[in-house]
Amino acid sequence: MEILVRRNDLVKELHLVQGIVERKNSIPVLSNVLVEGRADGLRVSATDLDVSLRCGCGAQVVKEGAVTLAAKKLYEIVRSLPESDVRLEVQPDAWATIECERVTFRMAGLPREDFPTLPDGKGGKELQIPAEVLRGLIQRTGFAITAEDARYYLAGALLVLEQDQAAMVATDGHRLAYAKASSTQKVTETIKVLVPRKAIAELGRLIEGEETVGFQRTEGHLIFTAGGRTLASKLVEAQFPAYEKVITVTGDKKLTLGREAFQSAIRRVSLLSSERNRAIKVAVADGRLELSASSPELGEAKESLPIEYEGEGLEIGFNAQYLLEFLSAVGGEEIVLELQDAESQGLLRPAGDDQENYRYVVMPMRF
Amino acid sequence: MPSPASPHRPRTILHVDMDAFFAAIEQRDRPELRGRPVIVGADPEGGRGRGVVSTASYEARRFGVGSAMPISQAWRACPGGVYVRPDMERYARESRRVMHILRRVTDRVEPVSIDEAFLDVTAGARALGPGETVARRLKDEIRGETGLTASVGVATSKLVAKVASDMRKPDGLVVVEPGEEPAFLAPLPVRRLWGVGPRMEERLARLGVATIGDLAALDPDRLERRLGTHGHDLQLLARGTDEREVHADSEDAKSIGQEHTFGSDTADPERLRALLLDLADGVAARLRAHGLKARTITLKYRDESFRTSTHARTLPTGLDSGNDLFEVISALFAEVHRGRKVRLLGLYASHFAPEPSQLDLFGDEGTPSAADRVRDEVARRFGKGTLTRASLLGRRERRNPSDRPPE
Repeated sequence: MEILVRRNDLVKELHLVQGIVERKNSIPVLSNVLVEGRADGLRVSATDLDVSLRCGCGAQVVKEGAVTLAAKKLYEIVRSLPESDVRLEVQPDAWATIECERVTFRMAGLPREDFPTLPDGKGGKELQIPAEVLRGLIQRTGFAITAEDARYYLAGALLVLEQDQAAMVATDGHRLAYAKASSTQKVTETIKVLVPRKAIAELGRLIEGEETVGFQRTEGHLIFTAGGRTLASKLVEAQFPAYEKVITVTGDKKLTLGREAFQSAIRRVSLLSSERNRAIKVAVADGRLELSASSPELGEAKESLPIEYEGEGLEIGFNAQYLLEFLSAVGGEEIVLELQDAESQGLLRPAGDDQENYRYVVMPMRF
Repeated sequence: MPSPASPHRPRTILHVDMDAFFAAIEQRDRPELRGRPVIVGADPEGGRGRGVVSTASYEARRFGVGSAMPISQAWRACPGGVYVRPDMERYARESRRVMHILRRVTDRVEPVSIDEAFLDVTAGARALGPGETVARRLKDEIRGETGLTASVGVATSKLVAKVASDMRKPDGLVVVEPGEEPAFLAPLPVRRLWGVGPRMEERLARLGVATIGDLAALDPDRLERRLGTHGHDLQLLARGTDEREVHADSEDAKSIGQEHTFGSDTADPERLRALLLDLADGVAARLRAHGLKARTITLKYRDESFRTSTHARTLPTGLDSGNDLFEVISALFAEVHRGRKVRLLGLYASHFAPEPSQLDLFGDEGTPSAADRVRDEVARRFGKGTLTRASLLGRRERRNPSDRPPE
């Protein structure tokens, strides 16, 4: 195999696949990327057996062929090269030579035969989803996907596609984010699929700058395509928690808050919350919302915000991080916080959102 | 729980005494009573009542009304006072609130009565600061959360702390620094000592003893001849020596711990480390079994010369994992251990302060770390010790069941 490719093109593709390759691998070839010189250009693929990404770019292919090379090292090498053409030549013994101007690297690769075959979804029926819609859903819910793999069924976001709308739900069991957008898809019945965390992160990167995203569900995979790149994710058979009820439960104490003021106050007060649980107290009283935090070793912090509220008071604890993540994602000037009592969920939403376009539910912390 | 007292470090004992507790609660809840002499106690029945005064507000005390005085006498001394029947249920509720505030600082709280308690905050010195800081914090929190004032004495013993808390009532704070106890006590009348009632006061007076200082200075042989061993004990108190410990009430203050005595004293770092790890795992498993997270971790250390000391660290959040406990106990051990031969090591976890706990959306319960969950499950199904750390293989000390102290 022998190809000539522009350094910047190669860096971009190698960067995209880095997120797929796991740091620690019991199967050596999974630490590698598959690099193929084909008649139509260069193709780069990576997989962790659950999620795989195939991408590529134009290249001058002198001689077709393929090899697998250490993903991280190859990326570091190519990134270090001057902005010029890169020549990649592979010997039959899987040794690769990378040349750029006066630089030469030689890397030991593994033969392509060791690399798993990736699903490509060719020949299946694809739905088209506007990239803008998908991006918005991921941005508003992705942060709520659980970071620990304790509960497998939560380690992803649920994508719900209907004829006239698309929705995404993510939760880590303590809070739940639900976002919806109108979007026309050619679906005959509602599609609900769990997209793993890693695929969501990758998808977010993949659709940057694209117009539409192709989507199909095959026997064992979810396949997303955008800009000639293919992201495949193993179909996860897991029951996503019943979120529909959770997002419609409202509290009798409805507070409208300036988003930025609320966000800055939480940031300040939580400086003295415990590092471990980030607990802050939210106290609601007539005309006033008071945030406080204390840590036996550090001290205490308090801040009050004027609010238009008259009614029963309430003191409730929250993980500051959970609130902040929503406040960063929601944008806009005002948000509404709905509370019931100290042990019931709090609901956050953008002010004026009557269509349930964005709902964020957080369980309190018990003091 | 072993005593955090150590021969090298004086204890820090607080005596917290609520000021005119019952009367203060009444004045707080009924603003019209503020500034007026309030006497909580039996019905005076127009001066014919037969009961006694429970508590008199400071305004009433100016008329000479005091606790335990016959209510009829109080009536004569202060006919214009407001006489209130006690509402013990309400006072008990306030008392619980106050005790709860005290327990946020340490679990070594010994309530003496409904309105006073001793605290031993020696162990928390690193985290909490000196006794005076703790005392100020408690006073502020009690005032902030209950609207009541407390007087606090800070000293190295229960006796001196109690005397100190009484010095500047109400809303007082008196700190007696280590070493200053005899000088602090000397000018006070002997009556202030525990165990000195009117009769003893009289007997002492016959020996020419009026003040605590007089008692401290008395020839011990003469004292013992006249008063027996009790005289000896009293003199120790008079000199500021009071070894009595703060006994945390068993219901609310518990500790979970394990200790182990080596078959032969050892300085082998590997063995010592392995034992600490084993103790940490054992205590952590029991914490999890009880659903507790401990904020204070105490190391008990006894060297070859039988010198025993305890060293504690209080953390901002509760722990229940073997790794976390090991980290803390190792740090404590490193501070104490000077390469001596060790006879005994113990690990105690206490201060089960209410940890804010994140509630679940879908009803799953709190989640200990995955490794700990597996350990607990394997131990439950196949028995303790089935699963152990690789670093403990062949290194576990043979543990004597009696090493586990009663909980």
